[in-house]
Amino acid sequence: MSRAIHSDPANKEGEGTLDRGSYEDIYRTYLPDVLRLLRGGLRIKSAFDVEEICQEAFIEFFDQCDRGNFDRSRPIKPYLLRIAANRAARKMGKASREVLVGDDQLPLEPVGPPDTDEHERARLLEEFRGTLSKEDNGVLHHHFVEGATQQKTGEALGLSRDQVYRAIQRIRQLAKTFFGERGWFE
Amino acid sequence: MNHEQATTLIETQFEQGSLPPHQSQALRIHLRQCNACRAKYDRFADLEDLLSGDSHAPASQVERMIAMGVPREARSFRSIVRIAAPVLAIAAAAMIAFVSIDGASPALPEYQLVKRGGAQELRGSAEQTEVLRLSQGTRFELILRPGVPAEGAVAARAFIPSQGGVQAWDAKVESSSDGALRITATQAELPAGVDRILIAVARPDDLPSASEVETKGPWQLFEQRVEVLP
Repeated sequence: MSRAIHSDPANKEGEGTLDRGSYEDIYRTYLPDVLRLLRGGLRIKSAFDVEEICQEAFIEFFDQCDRGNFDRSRPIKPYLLRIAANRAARKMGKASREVLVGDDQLPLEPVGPPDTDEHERARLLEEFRGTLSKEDNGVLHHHFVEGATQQKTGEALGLSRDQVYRAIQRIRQLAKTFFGERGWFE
Repeated sequence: MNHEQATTLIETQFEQGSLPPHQSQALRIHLRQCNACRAKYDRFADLEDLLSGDSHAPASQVERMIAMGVPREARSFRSIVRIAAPVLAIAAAAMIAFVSIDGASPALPEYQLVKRGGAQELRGSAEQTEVLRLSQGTRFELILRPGVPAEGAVAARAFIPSQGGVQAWDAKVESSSDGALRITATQAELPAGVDRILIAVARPDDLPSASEVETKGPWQLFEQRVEVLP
């Protein structure tokens, strides 16, 4: 049975170097998967480390494509996740290697117990939300949590895009102050 | 880059949602060598995660990483940096003012409006005024130049304020590969009684409507005063 995923951006060009658009398509398509693996599956805490490993993984993958080492009839995701997992293992050491499994079964959800400070984080967030207006809470939910664009957020809440834009700026400023006062950045 | 500059960029990234790719990469170079700043970066990223609902691929981080640019370009940038790190660090610090005002897109560089044509210049006068003086049928150009080449699509929209409110002006806008924009028109194409032209520069999706243009938003707004000579 063929495992080819013909909608994979890497298959667009057939053999040879990918064009810039294909790199971008692959990056946008698989970035969330790589992040889920590194943050959820491998539980790498540092956002900076996650972003570094993520970038290195994509660079290696694009190199493999350019050198013809990646068979483009095969699906991208497991191959890319394997590269990311190996990069993570190299960077983070043995702790990361312990959670690695087979090629197509890389853990995308957390392994092990949840963080002990989850309740405290949830409590702080609730407290922060309590200081926001109803409008700002709506923007927080639609834009920050759901990932909606400013336009979509405005449509959902009956606000203009400019109002949404100002609300986003306001929420960020308020969050910086609120959490800063509670020692978040220390 | 020193700690202060890095901290400013970290805070700006949080406040704006992302940084332009060149600033983001300059910051990452510093973070690779500085534990204290990396810890600060992680705390801000952690707060961003909390606001985004603590998912394992939060929209905020996806957005931030897309704003950094495709890693292929990041690699090229790193190889350049080995040679020119000090220069880039200074450039990054100097460009803090160019940060994005819309977290979804890389920031536009600062634009400058330059006028060309008009009655005086056609007559060869050495006098330069801020007012664009137009006699009947005079051709003129309004050129918007970025301080540094702009990445990605940039667009402009022109408006004419009048007593009844601001109206969109359907002017022809041309763009160059480095993001410069040019509006070319003649006096006859302007509505009667015009005394100023507003031009908004932004990403194509961010351009304002006539009712929005004089409010604050993710666009740069320019005003050109106009005098139509009898």
